[in-house]
Amino acid sequence: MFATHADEPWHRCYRELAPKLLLFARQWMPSQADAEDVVQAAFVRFWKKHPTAEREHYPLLYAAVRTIALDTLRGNDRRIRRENAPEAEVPRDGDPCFDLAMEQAELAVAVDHSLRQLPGEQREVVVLKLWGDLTFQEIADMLGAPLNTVAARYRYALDKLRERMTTYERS
Amino acid sequence: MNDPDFENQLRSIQPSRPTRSLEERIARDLAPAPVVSAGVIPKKSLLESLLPAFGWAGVGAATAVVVMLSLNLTGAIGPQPPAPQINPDPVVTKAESAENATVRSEVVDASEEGFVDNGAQGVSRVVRYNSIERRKWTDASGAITLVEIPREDVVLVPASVQ
Repeated sequence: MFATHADEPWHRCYRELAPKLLLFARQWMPSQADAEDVVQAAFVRFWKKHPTAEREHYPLLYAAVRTIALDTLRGNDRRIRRENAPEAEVPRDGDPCFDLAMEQAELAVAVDHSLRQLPGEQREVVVLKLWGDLTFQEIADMLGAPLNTVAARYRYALDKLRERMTTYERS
Repeated sequence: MNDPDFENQLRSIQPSRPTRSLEERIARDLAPAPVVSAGVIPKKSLLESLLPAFGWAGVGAATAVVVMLSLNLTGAIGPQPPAPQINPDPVVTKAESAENATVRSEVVDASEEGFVDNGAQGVSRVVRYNSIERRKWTDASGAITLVEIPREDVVLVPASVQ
């Protein structure tokens, strides 16, 4: 079934980036399913504009994920306010963001837990830098933030992660 | 643990993989639209090339002429009351108001619109005439003025019922 489009040009890009995009989308979306919806919309939109996507275009794909995720989140917030249902609040903890079926499952849980406690602006920089393999300059361009600010956010986030992971592992 | 080691440790954790349905959904969204027909686009004929230039209005006008001619030529099919006579020759009369003015009336279309019951006068056929009345006169300076007035007349023609 999957061999039917495994040779198509978009599939190489998808195979390389899908887990990273999903992790990035999970920074805003409460569940894996919601994040997949965001990735689907972003990837299709991106590929239609850049059918011969090169490495230099990848930041645009992350930017599309971010935009659609934020739009979706704003839509959800509006819906929740409209329905005035407190129990319908978007949960921040859901499916694990990392692959737990591996030797480092405990570490993955610790990272997942610690990552969720970071401020959003630091969390997205860490995810883009560590798992998205983007440079500071690409992240700065994507977020529209100064390079030094992005680097500082990363540095703070890394320190907090190290500290919280230590605490988490001890507990 | 220094920063590079810590970064490498974090990078070693793999993000969750998407479900297979995501790939299928993207494949479906990116699938090319089905092609209805394939092949070489046939070369346009001369008529097809000229039609856009002259516009469809010309075609409409030509069709109208053909319909009008066929109405005049074919007449009624089957036993019907005699059709009203349409004088093919334009009627040329002298206008009363101007000494040198002429009036030409040309019938361009005639259509039957069924029967009406006129009570004591019996049944009549309703015939609608479309004509153009052309008035032409010359003034003292020799200038010629031509006016075309479209006319529409509905005539009741007595019909015999057997």
